[in-house]
Formats: sequence, C-alpha cells, structure tokens
Amino acid sequence: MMKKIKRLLALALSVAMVISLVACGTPDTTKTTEADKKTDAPTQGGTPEGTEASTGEEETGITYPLDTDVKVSLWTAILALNSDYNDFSESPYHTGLSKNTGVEIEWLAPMAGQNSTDAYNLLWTEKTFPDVIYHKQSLKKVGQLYDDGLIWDLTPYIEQYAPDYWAALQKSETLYKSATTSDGKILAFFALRETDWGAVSYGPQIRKDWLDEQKLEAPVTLADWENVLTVFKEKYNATLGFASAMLKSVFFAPGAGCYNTGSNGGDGVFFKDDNGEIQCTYLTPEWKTYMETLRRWYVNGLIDPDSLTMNAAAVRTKAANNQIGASYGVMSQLTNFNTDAETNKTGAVWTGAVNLRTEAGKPPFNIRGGGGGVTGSSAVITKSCSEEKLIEVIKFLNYGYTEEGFMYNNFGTLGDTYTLDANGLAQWTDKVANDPQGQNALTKYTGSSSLPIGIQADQFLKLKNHPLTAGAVDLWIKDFDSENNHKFYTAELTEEESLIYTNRMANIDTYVNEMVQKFILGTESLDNIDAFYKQLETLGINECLYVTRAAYARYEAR
Amino acid sequence: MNKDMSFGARVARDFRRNKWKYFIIIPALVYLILFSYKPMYGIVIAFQNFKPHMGVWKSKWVGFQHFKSMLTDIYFLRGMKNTITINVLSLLLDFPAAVLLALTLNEVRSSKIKRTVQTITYMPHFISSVVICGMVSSFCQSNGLFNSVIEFFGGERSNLLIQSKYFYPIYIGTQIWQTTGWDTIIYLAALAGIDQEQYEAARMDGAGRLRLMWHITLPSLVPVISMLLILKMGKMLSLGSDKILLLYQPATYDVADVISTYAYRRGIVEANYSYSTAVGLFNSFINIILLRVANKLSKKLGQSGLF
Repeated sequence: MMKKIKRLLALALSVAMVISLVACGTPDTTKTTEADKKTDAPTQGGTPEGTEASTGEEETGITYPLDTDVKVSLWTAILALNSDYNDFSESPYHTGLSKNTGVEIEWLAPMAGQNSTDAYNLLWTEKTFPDVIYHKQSLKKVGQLYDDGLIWDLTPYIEQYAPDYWAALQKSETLYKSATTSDGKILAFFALRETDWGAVSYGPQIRKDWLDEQKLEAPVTLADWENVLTVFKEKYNATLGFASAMLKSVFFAPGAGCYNTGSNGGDGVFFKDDNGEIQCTYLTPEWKTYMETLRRWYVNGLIDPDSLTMNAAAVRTKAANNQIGASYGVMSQLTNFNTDAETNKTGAVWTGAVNLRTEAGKPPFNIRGGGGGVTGSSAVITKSCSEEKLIEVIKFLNYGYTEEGFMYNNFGTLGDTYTLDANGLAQWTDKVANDPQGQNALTKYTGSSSLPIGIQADQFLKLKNHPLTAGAVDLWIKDFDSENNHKFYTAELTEEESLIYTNRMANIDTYVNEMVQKFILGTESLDNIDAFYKQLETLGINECLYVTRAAYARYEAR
Repeated sequence: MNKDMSFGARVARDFRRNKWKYFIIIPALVYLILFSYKPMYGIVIAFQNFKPHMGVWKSKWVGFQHFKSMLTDIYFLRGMKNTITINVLSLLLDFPAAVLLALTLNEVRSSKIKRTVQTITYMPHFISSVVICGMVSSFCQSNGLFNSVIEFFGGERSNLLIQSKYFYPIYIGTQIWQTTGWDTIIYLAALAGIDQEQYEAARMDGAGRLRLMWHITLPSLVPVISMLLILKMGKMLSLGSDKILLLYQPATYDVADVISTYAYRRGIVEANYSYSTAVGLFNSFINIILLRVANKLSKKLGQSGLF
C-alpha cells in the first residue's frame, strides 16, 4: 500500500520534473530509448547473417550483430550510468552493447537516489515488466519468480539459442548444479566468474614492512598469529583491528579447525564434515577453542577494543594512523590501506596472509568456493516479453558469454579502452587509466565495476585493485583443495521447510552474533558454554539442521 | 424545524452557508485520507504470507500465525521489555527536563540571554540523527573524547558502546541534549499566556520567586503537561529505531534491542513483511489501550482529558 503511494508520489514528482524541464528540452533521465543506432551497426565486422531460428538447424554458433529489429527493454541497477552522462545514449558501454549485438536496447534503471533493492521489489508489483531484469537474484529467488509465473523457463531454448551460455554452464558439475533448479530447469542467465579466484574476495591482511623489520615469518596458524600480534603490540603499539561485520564471516576460524565465526543471515552456520555429514559450526568443540583464543587475544590487548563497533571507514582511519598492524577484510580494504600509505608516505606495506590452518603445511579447513563460479546476480526474462521475441532476447543475452562479449564486458573495445600485452592479458589504455574518475570510470567502458551479464574476468579484478591486492588473493586461495572443501550446496527449500528455517534462523542469527561478541568481551563466560548450547536448541537449531540435511540430500541425489 | 430536515438536507444547507470553510478543509482531508486511512487496508497483510508481486489480494491467508510466533518469540518479548524501559526512563528524565528548562528560562530577566540560551538549546534538534550518532560513536571509542575525560579523572580507557551498562546513559543523555530545547517551545508559549495580575497579587501577599513558581507558574502549566503526557503514553510501545540502529551492537542487544529494531531485522533485512506488519499492528493495539488508560486517569485526577 505504502509502495503504491510512493509510486504515485514518484510519478507526480517526475511529472513535475518533466514539466519544469520541458523548456530546456531535457528528456527524463530515467528512461532512454536508443533509437537509430541500427544504421551504423552492420559496418562492424562480419556480415549480418540470418540466424533466425526458422530453420532450427543453426545451433553451431550465433553471429553478432544479430540481424533483427527486436527492441529489448532491460532493467538493471548493476550496469549503471556513469555520473558523467545524463543519458544512456551518451554512455560508451551501453551504446556499444547495442552496436555489437545489433539489438536496440531500452535501458531502464532506478531513479537517481533510489535504493536499488526497493526499486527492484517495486518492479514486481507492476502489471507489466521490462523484458529483461538484471539484478542480484539468487537461484532461490529466481525459482520463486518462476513458481509465481513471472518469468520464462529457458530450459528448452538454451542449448540451441544460447550455445555459449550452455557451454559455460557445462564447465563443471558444481557450476551446472548451482545455476539450475533441483528439477533441472534453467531459469536465468547467471553472471559467472572466470575462475574461483574472483570468488575469494576477503581474508587476513597484515603489515608486511613490520613483519620484515622484526624478521618474522608470515603467520599461518593461530599460534603464529598470536606471536606476531604480540610483537606488533610491544614494538608498535598496534593491534588487530577489523570492521565489526567481519565477526559474522569466516575470520580466523579455520585456524582452530572450524568453519565460521558468527552467522550472516544463516550463512556459515552449517558445514560438511569429513564424513560428508552436515553439522552445525557452533556445536563443535573446535568452535569453543576458537572463541577462547579470541577471548585471550582480547584480554591481552591484541584485538583493538573498538573493532566491535567499527565500520570499514573507521578501520581505514586506524590503519592510516598505524594503530592497527593486522586486519581481516575485503580486497578493496587492502587497496585502500595501500593507497592511503602511498598518499601519506607512511611507508606502510599491507599484504594478504594465507587463510589460517590448524598446522603449517595442512590445507586450510575451508575456503569459500564460488559455486564453481556462479554468482548471486542473474538476468531473467519476464513474462511481459512475448513468445515471438523470446528467442531473440535469449540470443541477445548469450552475447556476454561469447569470446567477443567476454572481452567487451570486461575491458571495452580493443585499441580504444584496452590493449593486449605480451602475455595476451588485457591492459587499460591511457584513456581509462588516466581518467579523472579513477576506479569509478570503469562504468563508462565496462558497464559495471562489479559483474556483467556474462563472465567476469580475473584480469578485470586484478586491474581494478591495487597490485598488492592481486597478490593477496593468490594467498587467500592458496592450497585451496576442492576435496577438502567443507562448503556444500542444497536444493531449494520447500515452502514448509523455508518457513521453519527462516523463522528459527532469524533468532539464531541474533543470538549467535550477540554471544560471539559477549564471549570475546567476557560478559558471558565460556565455562558456561552448555547454557549456550541449550539456548541454541531452544531456538530450534535442530529443526534447522534437519531441514538443511534434507535439502542437501535432495541436491546430492540429482 | 431543523429536526424535520433529513441529514442530507441539513448537510446541503450547511455546505451552502459555509462552503469556503469546507473548501479550506480539503487539503487536510486529502492528506488524512491518503496517508492515514488509505494505507490502513495494508494491515491485512499481517494475516497473510505477503508476497509483493502477488499483491494484497492474491497472497496466501494464514490467520493469526504471525501473531502466535511473535508472542512466543523470546526476542520479541525482550524487545518489548527494552522499549518500555527506555520509554519509562525518558519519561522520568527527558520529559521533566523540558519543563525545568522552560521554568528556568521564564525566570531569566534579560531577554538577550534568554534568546541566546533558547537558540543554543534548539540547535541540536536540527542535526540529523545519523550525524549525532556518528559523533557519539567516535566519542565513545577507546581513544575518543569521553574516554579522555574518564582517563583524566583516573579511570581506564574502554569502548563505551559495547558495554550494556553504559547504553541507557548514552542514549538518554543524547536524547535530552537533542530534544530538550525544542520541547520547551510549547511550555514557553503557555507561560506567556499567564495573567500577570496573578503574580502581582501574590507578590503583594509577600510571595518570593520560588513561591510564585510553585503556586502560579507550575499550576498554569499543568494542562499542557498532562496533555503531552497523555500523548506520550500513546507512544509507549513505539520508539524511533534510527538512533538505536546506529548505536547498538550485538554485544548490547540485551538492553538495546527494541521492538522497532527487532521488526526492522525481521521485516526489512529478511523481507518478512507480513511478520513486521503483525508486530506493528500489535504495537498500535497496545498503544491505543495505554492512551485510553492515561486519558481516563487524567480525567479521574481532575485534569481535562484529551477526549
């Protein structure tokens, strides 16, 4: 109801805006049609061939640009418009995509300042939808959309009309399973990663210059870390500082041989043990040892006490002021640390450190796999797209998975925005590298600084981040052994299961994150861990475990 | 004669007589209908498993399921306890602060000083909560301002926001700092309306300044105070979540997690709209009861009620 009103308001506002702008002739910036780009389309390499499906025998490959007069409306907040442009018709990436695919695209995006998730949720309350919606949509979400009759089932068409996407899905069994529903349906074009490299985006971070100065080895086990942190504390009065949200992630858990620290919307609660059985992280004795270690670090002043309230910006300030010597966080944090050090000439050198392990030489207990490269972003074709148009739209979306589309989506146009070096790797041209917008300029040429509708190149991430960061990711995934991967995948939960799971998991989430902080602070004693187990049981951990095991069994049975 | 006319006819006649008055009402009426009455039908989603794209009428009906799971949820009950605690504390500390400040300001002779003090105390009202909470967070850090003060007096440095015992002082303290000045406006307006002759008469009888305040100023304020108190009672179970969301940590959930933050985590973060609506509806229900009770009490105690 409120949404309807909001929509009315938004409508009224945009009408008012349009009226006030009519004098200057500026079009409404939220909606842009890209007309007349077809005139110059066929001049670009390759003769336009009739790949129309009428014969149904041409599954050997699709030639771009397509010879079609189909117009596709595409809603996305991910392939956003760079702030330099008022209109999608000015944006090199967006116009280029039309040119390369031969498809006229009507780009739709949330209004400036509107929260993209809100805008996305509102989309589905409309009577008609854009043809294609590209957003953060997990397999679970896509399955719900299909069950509600909102999107097309693409299964019958993919192999024939999107051969490149089909080929990409065949890369590994995990990948295929992670992108298709439990009954084998293909419902969406998932954004993929070139390798697992890109999926591991966070891990331990440490001051390399201090390690060298004290002649210390890079730490590997919890004991090593304790030693290094103690030295840092004595010599530099620096601690381990991190954003409080990190206590919901893997963090230093692998060092104690457990899977996760806190819980993030139910993520990290369960893992697959060595016998292939699903277990709950918090109920293991290893987790207790892990908490005891963190508690000891806190008591000894090795952990910055503000870590429990800090956000990423506060951590960055502390790092710039040499108050912290080690951290845990995402790639971009490491990039920020190093750029700050260079700007302020502090001489700090931050690098990644390997994910912790129980013993040197052993592989780490776990590493987040990327579902074989499947991400949580996907493009769906809504039921508003007519059946006649469907095949053309599928062919259009296939472009991102072709060799040509891969290069275009990640690096732009050869010679203009990137060149190939001696190793065949893409490097930015001066035009991109020297753009005053810095990293933000990438949206001009690659559409997104995150994921394209297609495959994200590892090289793209390496170019995007500080050179030291790329080295960090190499360390974070070091000794990644898929056999030793404790991550598991489940089939979608049934409606009944999902009701049991979400209601209980919400409280388990709250409880665990509260207790993790209290164990560390010492407001709850770890001697009382039995009370913790008991409370988890009351909150329904066993029911959640049961549901997860059942969904896992269904997935394995596929 | 009037009684013989039908209701419709009476309305029509009244309309003819007062059509411009009716005309003036329109904007307020439209506002009420659009923003207060029309959204009410959305309440039905509290009894459904609401899915946005299916809309209100196609979503599945589940009856009182959400209310049942809400009332058996320990975190809901904890949220309720904390909401009431915070509201009672603010009733005891925050509410009288404005009255006190107004009374003090009233005694100030120099209008220049009075105006300056007023302006300064208003000011925090115009700072956004996000900014205030950002300031408070950094003051509370182990190397922040508050800790420097504590250390100066011989205390130990520690992060104040992760300790449950400091949450209420921090929250209520910033609340008083932010709202007291603004809240005095209505009292000062009431004070301006007091008949000066009463004071003169009392002075003639030999009353000092404290006597004047106790016997004339305060009693004149009582109607306003009781009205504001009743209104406040009606909001006993609702509490703005923005400041708490910005200040609380998992470590202080036990004292800081209130109903609105609980509903936020369940409803917005987990997109469980129906459940959140059920929480909201339940709150409104209790609030109405509290409002009626306070109103009754106020009438019983000889003060005029709101309705």
